[in-house]
Formats: sequence, C-alpha cells, structure tokens
Amino acid sequence: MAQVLNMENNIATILIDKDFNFETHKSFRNAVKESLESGVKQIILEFKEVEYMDSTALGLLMVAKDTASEVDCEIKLQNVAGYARKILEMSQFDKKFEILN
Amino acid sequence: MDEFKGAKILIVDDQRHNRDLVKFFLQQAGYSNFIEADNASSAYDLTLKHIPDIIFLDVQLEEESGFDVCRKIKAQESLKDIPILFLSAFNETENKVIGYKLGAVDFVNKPINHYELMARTHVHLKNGQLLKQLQTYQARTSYELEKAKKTQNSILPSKRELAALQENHYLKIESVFNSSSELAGDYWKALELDDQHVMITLADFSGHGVYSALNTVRIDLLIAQANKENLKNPKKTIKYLNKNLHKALPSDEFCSLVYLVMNTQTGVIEYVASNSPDLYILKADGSEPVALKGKGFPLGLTKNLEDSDFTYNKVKLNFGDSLMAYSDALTEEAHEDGSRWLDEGLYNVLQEAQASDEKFEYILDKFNATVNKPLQDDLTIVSVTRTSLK
Repeated sequence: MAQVLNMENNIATILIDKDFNFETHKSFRNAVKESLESGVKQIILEFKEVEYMDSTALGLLMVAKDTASEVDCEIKLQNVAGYARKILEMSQFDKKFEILN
Repeated sequence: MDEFKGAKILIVDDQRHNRDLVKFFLQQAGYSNFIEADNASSAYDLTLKHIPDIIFLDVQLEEESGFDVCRKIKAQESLKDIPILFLSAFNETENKVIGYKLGAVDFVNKPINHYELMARTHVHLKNGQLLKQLQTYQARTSYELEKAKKTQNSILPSKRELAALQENHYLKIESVFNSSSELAGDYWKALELDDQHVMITLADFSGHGVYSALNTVRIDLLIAQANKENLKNPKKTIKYLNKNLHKALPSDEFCSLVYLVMNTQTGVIEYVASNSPDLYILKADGSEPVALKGKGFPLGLTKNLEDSDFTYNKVKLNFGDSLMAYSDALTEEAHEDGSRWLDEGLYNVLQEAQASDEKFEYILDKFNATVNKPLQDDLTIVSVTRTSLK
C-alpha cells in the first residue's frame, strides 16, 4: 500500500509500506497520479517502512519517474535502508534517483 | 429463461402426481425436456444415460433414500457436477445438513411454490453452465500452457548441446531451471561461438508467468539473429540486447542479465552483468568462494546503456574451478523457518559446498531441503566448470 502522506510547499510525500511489490502497484500509481495532478514539482517517496521490494517496484519507480519528468516534476527517494537499499544499488537505481537519508 | 429452454431435467419421485406438478410448473417457465424416474436405481441409470443438466430428487423414495442416490451420483466422476435439488416434505435442518454435505445445491420444500421452483431452477442451471464453461476453459488453458512449457524448454540448451560443449571445450555445465508457475520468466543459454569461445548467458525477466515467458523467446531470437563475431564481445552484446529489448518491452518490464564469453583454451572469462546477484567462483583448491559483482541498470528500461550502467569484468578459471550464476530466487525464496538465504546465507552454503566433490548438487540439495514450495519466483542456476584436458 502506498499513500500520499502530505502535500505542502509544492512537495508531495508518498509513504510506501513494508512490502513494495505487485500488491502495491495500484495504490502507488494512484498516489503518484494524485500528486502530479495537484501540480507539485517534487515527489518524495518515503521508504522508512519498506522492508521488502521486488522487480515490480523497480518498474513502478521507472514509470513514475518518466511520467513525472513529462510535467517537470522530480522524484526523490527518502530513508532507503536495508534490503531496499541493496535492491536499488544492484539495479543502480541509486544513480538514477536522488536518495535523501 | 430462454437460454436454458432446452435444458435436460431429470425428475425423481415415486409419486407420479409430484413429478407431474414439478413438470407443470417448469413447463410454465418454458422448459420442455424432461426425463422421469420413480425409483432410485432407474434414477441413477437415467442420469448415467442422459447426463441431465439438473436433477430434482425426492428425499423419500421407496427402496433407497434420495440421499443414497445423491451419494452414488456424486461418486461418479462424469456425473458429480450435475446440480441436485432435493424435494422434501419435511423442512428439518438435519436433513438439509445431510443433503448439503452430500453435495446437493438446494432444497425445495413441499408443497412446492411455483415461483420459488422457477427461480431456483434458473439459478442452478446458470451456475451449472458457468461451472462447465470454467472447466472447459481450465482444461484448454492447462493444455495450452503445457504446450507452451515444452516450447520454452526447447529454447534452453539440450543435453546433446551441453555434451558437445563438454567434449569440444572441456566444460562441464550444470543447471537447474524451475518455473514458479507453468511458464518461467528466466532464460539461459550456452553456445559455442567458435572453436575457442563459448558464451553462457542467464536472464531474469521481471515478473513471471505467461508475459515473462514471452520475453524469454524475444531474447532467444535476438541472440539467434546476432552475428557470432559480435556475440564474442560482451559489451557490444549487452548494449545490443538492451536496445532491442527497450524497443520491444512495455515501459515497466525489464530483465537482469549475466553474459559471459569464455576462452576455453586459456580459461579467461570476460563478462558483463546488470541488475544481477553476485556471481561466484568456486575454486578447485577449496579456498574461499570469490564473489563477483553483477550490478547495473536493468535491461530494457532505457534506450541506450552506457559503460557505467553495467558491470564488466575479466576473470580466469583454472582447471577444476567453477563459475556460478543464478537468478535471485536462490537468495530470496523463503525457507521453512521464515528466513531467506540472502547473500550471506548463500555464501555460507558455498563455503560448505567447497568441501564436497559434487558442489552443485550440494547447493541444490541444501536449498531444496528447506525452501518453501511451491516457489514464489522462477529459479535458474548455471554452473560452468573447467574440466582438465584429457
């Protein structure tokens, strides 16, 4: 499950819960869509609760990045640790996304 | 009601006026195809002969009870899905429980209410039809998936091809290919490029099942179409595969890749890898396993891969050494105690395997002993050992 936590100062924060996988895809897409429709210029994906992510999550991140860049919105990842950090390093997504910790 | 007008209806009651009444009500609803039985044994025989679409069965028959008839029908594979509605003068819960446990779908109490009979009949004919459609669909899908699985297996290296690589290049290649569903999103290949070079590749497409499996055919075609000289260059090959997969794959699909070319005379391996778990060299001298990084940007997500987007490395296998590559199911699948091997767990197993004569078998046995089945993701492991010259 992913949901918009807050939206202020033109920044939306989306919280992702512990399993970032296929089950998350609908709520994640909706949260990103909601954020982009409100006109924010930055989306922060909050990873502090993420314990597990799989290949679906990488696909979701990539699609979100492409969609956001079409409206000049940047996506950043926050508090990435543990297993999620390992997956992002293995895929070199840590070079494609700015990670705030 | 029109769609079920032609339904075959079996009415079983030892009282003729009861059978006539049920028939009369159903005729009002447009049904006309009736079979009648007044005792248990002809009820069963007629069911076997006509395979009705629905059965109305009186609970109180003379020689045997309706329950016994129901039990007999439900025990027959070809008849067990026919909906059976009991007709009963007694509205006792105990009877209903027995009837439902035997597999009946409904009870119709006597005196029969016309509208209730019509409504229940329609519902159960509809459900029966849906069940038949589902069973047909499942049977067809199972058959097609079996055929597709055979096609998928046919693109993997055959025993004959691997035997030829052993004979001509002194390479022992061991592998495991387990799909988590009928079809796998994993792929691997071993190919002779010339009399001194062999390539081995392993790809893991995102997701698993049918759409992932289709992607394995894509990459196999890309490799088959490529010039063998170009395939000797791992950097060129990974860029070629990425470019073409990017064109073909939907925006959220991608694959991990390990691609290596071995000079089988010198044992030198050049490899590229992307989004791949660590590869390992298991040395013949029993020393510590050597981890080789496989990180990189997944293939298919962007149009062009730069050199910095994937791992490139050169290593050497001495005689007796093995190189092992695998899809991430090996480290990620949950085991009986809820744990996953992850990198550390796999490394421990590889260390133990070093003491064994059959390292590959040791690793696989260890994995299979405790992993939860069925697997949640496809598992592929490929190990190439450089055997000594004769």
